Amino acid sequence: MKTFDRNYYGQTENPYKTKLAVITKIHQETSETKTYTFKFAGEKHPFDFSPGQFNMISLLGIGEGPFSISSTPTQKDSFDHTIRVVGDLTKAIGELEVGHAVGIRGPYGVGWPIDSARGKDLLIIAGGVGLAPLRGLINLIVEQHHNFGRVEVMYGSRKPDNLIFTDEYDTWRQTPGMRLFLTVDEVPKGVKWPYGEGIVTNLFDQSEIDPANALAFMCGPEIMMRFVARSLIIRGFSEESIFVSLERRMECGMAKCGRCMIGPKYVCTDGPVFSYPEVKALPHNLLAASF
Amino acid sequence: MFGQVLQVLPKREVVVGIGSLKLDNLDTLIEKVLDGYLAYGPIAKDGEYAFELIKPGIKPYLGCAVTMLPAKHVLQPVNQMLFSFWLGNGFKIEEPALDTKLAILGISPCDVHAVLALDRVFGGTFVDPYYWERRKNTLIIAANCTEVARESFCTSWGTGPELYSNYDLLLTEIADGYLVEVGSSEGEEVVKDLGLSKATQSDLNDKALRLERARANSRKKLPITPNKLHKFLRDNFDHPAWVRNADVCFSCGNCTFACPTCYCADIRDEVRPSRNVGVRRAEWDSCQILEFSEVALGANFRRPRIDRFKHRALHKLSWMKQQYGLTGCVGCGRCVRWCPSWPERRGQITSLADPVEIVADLMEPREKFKIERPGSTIV
Repeated sequence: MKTFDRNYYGQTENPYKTKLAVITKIHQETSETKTYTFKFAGEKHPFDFSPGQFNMISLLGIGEGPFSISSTPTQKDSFDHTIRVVGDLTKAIGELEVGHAVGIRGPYGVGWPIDSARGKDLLIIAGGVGLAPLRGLINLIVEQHHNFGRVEVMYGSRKPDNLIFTDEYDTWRQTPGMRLFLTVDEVPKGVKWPYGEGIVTNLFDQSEIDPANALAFMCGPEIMMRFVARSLIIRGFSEESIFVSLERRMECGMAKCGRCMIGPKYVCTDGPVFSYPEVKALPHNLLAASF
Repeated sequence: MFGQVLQVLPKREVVVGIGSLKLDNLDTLIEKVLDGYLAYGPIAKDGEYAFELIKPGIKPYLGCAVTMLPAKHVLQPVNQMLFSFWLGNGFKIEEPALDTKLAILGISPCDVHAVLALDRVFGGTFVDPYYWERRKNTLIIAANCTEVARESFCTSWGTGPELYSNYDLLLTEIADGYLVEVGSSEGEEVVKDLGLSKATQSDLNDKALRLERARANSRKKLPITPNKLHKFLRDNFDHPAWVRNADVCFSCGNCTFACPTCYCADIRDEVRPSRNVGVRRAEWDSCQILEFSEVALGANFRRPRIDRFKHRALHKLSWMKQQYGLTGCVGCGRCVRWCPSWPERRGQITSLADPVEIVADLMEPREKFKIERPGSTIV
């Protein structure tokens, strides 16, 4: 069988072709979520991406799906994905061990607008595994905190044992200018929980950020983001200062399969990070802040 | 051939050397094409026409017929292999060869316009090498429509019945044969040895007259000029006519499969029972189908039928223009014809999926669409 004439139209390779990557580390975050560290096999160049972007991960024979990159770009020789077991593909990934191979292609999409956040305050709001696409950003700020103003991370989860990246909270708290607030929907009987209870917007009263000189980045369930966006606007954040990361089903990552489309936007190439006005212009009132 | 920047349409040099020719007998041309190309053309099938492989002895129909499906499957097969893989210690991937020379014979002007839209979809920041390997190897032998099908409204978009560019060869049926216009050097290569005579002024006049007649006889029109469509649809995004129409839609997906500009695909793996050999495939899919936007745990980003109904209509009529600069509807009328609601409305030459009908409904006063039945915003 012959292959293409190596004619990929200005691309170095077939964009559908997934590349061999090996798991070098697995960290159990919760009972159903793990953080995997991957390394491309035989890759000479460092993997270059921006926090908020995603990769398409394949287990050949099972399928392929989009997963946000959860490490910092400064970790040059490898990268992380934090994956919760929810379906066939993630279940199969959950059974992998260190040394096992997967197929990865990427990075795809538009990440967080980090450059516009430099010199400003930053409010980061996450729900559940929605913290994964923000972890790379937070750890980048930890490394470069002098470039940023006050940074507040507000993270909500279902229960205390659903929190991810718990090992890193101390580092985040000790970073100058950075504060971490936690809340859970429900505290099971007998569990000691010194932090907040209830929805993530309950934490807003503790914020010391001046909305006039701040950006807000958020990722979580759409229903959460809808209420957060609404609360932020009430608190004086301009619509232009709010950014969200959206989730959609994707099978290509390259605006070809058509699945992730919302109105005229492809979440894979126009997003997954959108500004609030961009989302507002889309049909279906995704994050409609109706007052 | 087409360089790197595919946002720009492939450039075909217009009329090289020989210009317009006259063809008395189609067979000589077909024979010549079959000689060098794997050729697809409209073949009679089940009382309709379908773009199928032309085999010697079976004549393609080059008159005026909207084929059941457009020719898009030549460029984007219904189910294509992206690559095969072997799993072992890691995996190995092998891509298919796609260097066959293809020809699409008798493709109508609207379908050529649809191909131009697909060119942009499969170009852009990420270029789909599977589409473009086929596309650059494909000879387009278009045929003007001397009669517009009653479900078609190409005249509203300007996508038919006459084609002006982006062909290798263009045929028009005239009184005693076909007028052949050459649009590229590849096209010229095909006809140069056929010994065709030069077309006369009266042949050209005959073509103009026939196409003028076709244009004049085409009754179906979009009730709004295309440049006003975007704003009109935006203003009527929550018009109650959507609810009424979506309420009776089956979400079967016929309108999307029959559409020459629909391109959505489902990418999935197939494995042999041994589980270490398999292929990754891309198969046509449809936004009308419930599972299309479903993710793990059953969440679905386009669950309500009305969201799916609107998505197709608005993507065709407005959003594709924003995304790619070309309208996603070329007025071929296949969605009109293949919607299951068509037979009930036979005689009216319209159906639920009909873009003309959708726009016309949105122009009606909102009060006309009072929802009487509860629960009609349906899943």
